[in-house]
Amino acid sequence: MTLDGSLFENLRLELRRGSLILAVLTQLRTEQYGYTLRKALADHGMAIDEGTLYPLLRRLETQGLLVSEWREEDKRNKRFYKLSADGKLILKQLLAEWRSIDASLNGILRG
Amino acid sequence: MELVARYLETVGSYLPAAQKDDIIKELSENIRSEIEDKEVELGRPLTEAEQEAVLKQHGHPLLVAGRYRQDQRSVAFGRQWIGPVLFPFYIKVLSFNLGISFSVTFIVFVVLFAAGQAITFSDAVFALSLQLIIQFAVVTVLFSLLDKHLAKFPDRWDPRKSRELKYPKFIEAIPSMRTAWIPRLESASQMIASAVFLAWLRAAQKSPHLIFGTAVGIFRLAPIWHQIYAPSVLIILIAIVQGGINLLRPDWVRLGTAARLAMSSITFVVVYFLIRAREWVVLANPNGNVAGNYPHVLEIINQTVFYSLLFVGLIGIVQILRESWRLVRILQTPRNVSRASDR
Repeated sequence: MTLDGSLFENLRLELRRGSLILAVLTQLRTEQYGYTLRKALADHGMAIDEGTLYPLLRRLETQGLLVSEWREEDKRNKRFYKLSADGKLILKQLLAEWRSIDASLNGILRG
Repeated sequence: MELVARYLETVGSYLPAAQKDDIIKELSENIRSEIEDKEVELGRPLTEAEQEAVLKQHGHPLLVAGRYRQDQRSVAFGRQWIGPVLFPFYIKVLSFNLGISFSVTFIVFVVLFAAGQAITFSDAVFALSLQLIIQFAVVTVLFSLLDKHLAKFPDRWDPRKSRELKYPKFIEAIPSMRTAWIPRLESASQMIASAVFLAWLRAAQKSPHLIFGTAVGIFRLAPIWHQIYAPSVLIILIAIVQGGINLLRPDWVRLGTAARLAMSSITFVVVYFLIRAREWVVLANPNGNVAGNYPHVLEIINQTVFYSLLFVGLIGIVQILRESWRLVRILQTPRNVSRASDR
């Protein structure tokens, strides 16, 4: 692979992947369904495409970090997701790790 | 919203049955919410072109379904050859082809061993390795090309050409009618498996070593196998052509069912003539020295083939009845109800 756009794109995606999980878990401290969650993330500058977000929600639920339930809203059945008890614990640990990485990186950048 | 229904139908055809309904229900809800949101924003219903844009943004149905799969394994030798989207279908085709060729080799070796023939471990390893390498190489290369095409042109699909709505809603509610469609990956897998089997058949015709292994100097196939070669090739070609057509037109269920009925019928006739032959493997040199155990081994092999053919014949009868019943049901469905779906 050459030092072109595709290399940057791969590294960017790698960097984003972990951050996206953190953003999704943080956003789901309050209950939401797929589409509103995607909009909320986009409003905060964390745009994520549908094909990535919806399967990710299911994977996080399978891992026990989220719980979901089908409920009627505006006369339509929607699947609402929120953090599980384990999810809250993991999120707390991940945020601490994130802050630690952020502080270290800033320190390195300042020289 | 017919475009959305077609899109969901196509995504659903690639999903595992156990998860399909739940995923489609949720995906449907999210897409409809997005469309409604845009409609509120614009103050009017979305045009078909705008709905198409929403679906395009969601992605190719095959890729969308692939992302929902729990199994994210892939094949990589340095770089990735076959991604998680095609991996389950790759494994299915490879297992099917290897299963057939390993079974044939295994039976030959077991019979030879049971009859007291000198079979070394290296003979068995060589014969099985040869099968493994050929099947693995051909199936992997074909799926790799398919994967490369999909990765190169992820946007080369048209939401308007997603499978049409099959039936009106009251018929949609009948599960047996709902499952009547032919998934595209099933057609692609059928084409690849048939092509590999055809290549193996041609290779085995030229090199009986692929069937008999080290016993190639002792046994050979009876003339009946040469007589049924052409009809066998015909069956495989029908499978390839039908797979190709249903890959492009998965809604042509009637064609798929008729082709399967034709294949089952020809297979049954072929098996009938094979059973009538009463002799399927013969000594390579019948006038030579037959003092050893060879005639006894030959008897065991032929008996095994006989019972295998009876079993295949029984399966053939079940297949013919099943496909005939299915075809009759499709033909009885009025055209205005079945629309373009069951051509």
